[in-house]
Amino acid sequence: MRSWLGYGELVALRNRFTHRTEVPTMQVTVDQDRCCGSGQCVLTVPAVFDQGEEDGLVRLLQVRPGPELDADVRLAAALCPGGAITAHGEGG
Amino acid sequence: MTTDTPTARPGGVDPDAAAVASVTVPSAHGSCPFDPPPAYREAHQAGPITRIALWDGAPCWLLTGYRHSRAVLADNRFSADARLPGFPFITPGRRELVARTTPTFLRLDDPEHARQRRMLTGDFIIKRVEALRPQIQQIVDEAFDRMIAKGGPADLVQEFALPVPSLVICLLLGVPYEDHEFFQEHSRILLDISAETERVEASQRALTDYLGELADRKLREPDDGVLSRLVARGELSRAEAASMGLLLLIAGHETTANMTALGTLALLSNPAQLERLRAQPELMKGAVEELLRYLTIVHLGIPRVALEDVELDGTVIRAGEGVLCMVSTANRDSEQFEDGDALDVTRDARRHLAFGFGIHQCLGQPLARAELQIALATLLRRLPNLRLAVPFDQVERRTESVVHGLRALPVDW
Repeated sequence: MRSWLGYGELVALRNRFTHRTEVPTMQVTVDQDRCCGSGQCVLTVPAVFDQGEEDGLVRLLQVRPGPELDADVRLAAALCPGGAITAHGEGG
Repeated sequence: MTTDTPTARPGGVDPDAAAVASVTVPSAHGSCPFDPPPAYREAHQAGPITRIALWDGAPCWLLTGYRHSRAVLADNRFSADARLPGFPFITPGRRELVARTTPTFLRLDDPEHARQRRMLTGDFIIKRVEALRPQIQQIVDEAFDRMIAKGGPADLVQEFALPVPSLVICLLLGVPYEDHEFFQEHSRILLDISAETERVEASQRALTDYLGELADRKLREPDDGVLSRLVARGELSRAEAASMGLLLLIAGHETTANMTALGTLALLSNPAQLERLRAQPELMKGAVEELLRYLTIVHLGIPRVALEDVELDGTVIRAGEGVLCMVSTANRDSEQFEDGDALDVTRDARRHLAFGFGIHQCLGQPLARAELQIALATLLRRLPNLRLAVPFDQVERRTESVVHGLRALPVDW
């Protein structure tokens, strides 16, 4: 069943009650078709990216890593030689 | 960055046609063994995009800055297929070689590139290379034990820098190391741009035959090496398997060997950096990235040919024109790396282009990193009094090779 509140609204609601200021709104997507298995992402942020044991292609471990990983995820996207990683939204 | 250009007029007057610079590729190296040839650096001073003519008169663009090399290498409007007209060859011998070789993914575009490369990506994942570290450490330790037992002075290239990556790639591929003199000698000739075409061809034939026979043997007697798994898939022709095996064998030992030797010399010539690294061994991972950036041993540039007209910061590169991405000067570009001509082991150099960029970026880079980190860390730990055994300017360099480096590195400890 779909929540009547979107993720962003839920985060905003939680933040209103907990007075949190940081908002993990950055979302990561990967495109395996563009992946060339260089491993740069795994080397840069192993908490967010992995490689398939057989095909060596990118696997996403977290779609919305916390804001503390924003800079690393952006670096991983910049280092990805195939342009297979996209970091969407605010947060860094 | 590259953008589609509405202003390019195929068949129109080329405003740049007259402005051909006198830079030649390959150009002679200068006095410093760590720097790219001065001619490329001078060209960069005048501008990051230089129009040149190759030995055969073919027009070619020399890209010496970071931004342009990175953009072109990531752009599928530039092809790596050496069979296409206009592809830049830096010597007649290189062109002959391509005509006689079954291309590997290194010189193919997608989708064929991806099909071939993906047969291997699983073998070079970070996890698998990390699991190899104890074996690499053992190979490094044994090479040191042998060198130290023989006593100094010793040639670090022959005793350490060359055997270590050769042993590692043999282990990984399933190539018998006892054949190392054969494949090292022929690899050296194959990469020598000053060697006569006949010699290069003979070496190429000898190595391809060797890898072809090895592939046949792996079909009959499979093992857990990369070559055996590759032929067991049954998706490659014998010639393709031999070509791919040869690419992995050469790339696996030549590059790391030269980085190890040249990296050691760079540290010995920068005592403050060396001391810093000895005092803080945890800097080694970053130091290897910095050495890769600073030394960028592919001095001849990464060749591409434009598949369509592409505008690069106002310069139109026409379909069918060659481009050389000079990653060695790109990695010194002050626009990207502050004080880029200085070696600084504390710098964050991770954006370097030493492994190339785009879909062809080095497949074996996790292995190269692990080998360099282990080799250099062990070198600093085991030989605290390591020093050159000849004056700096008498260290013999390999200036004639596709992979820049040292012929020998006499050291004592």
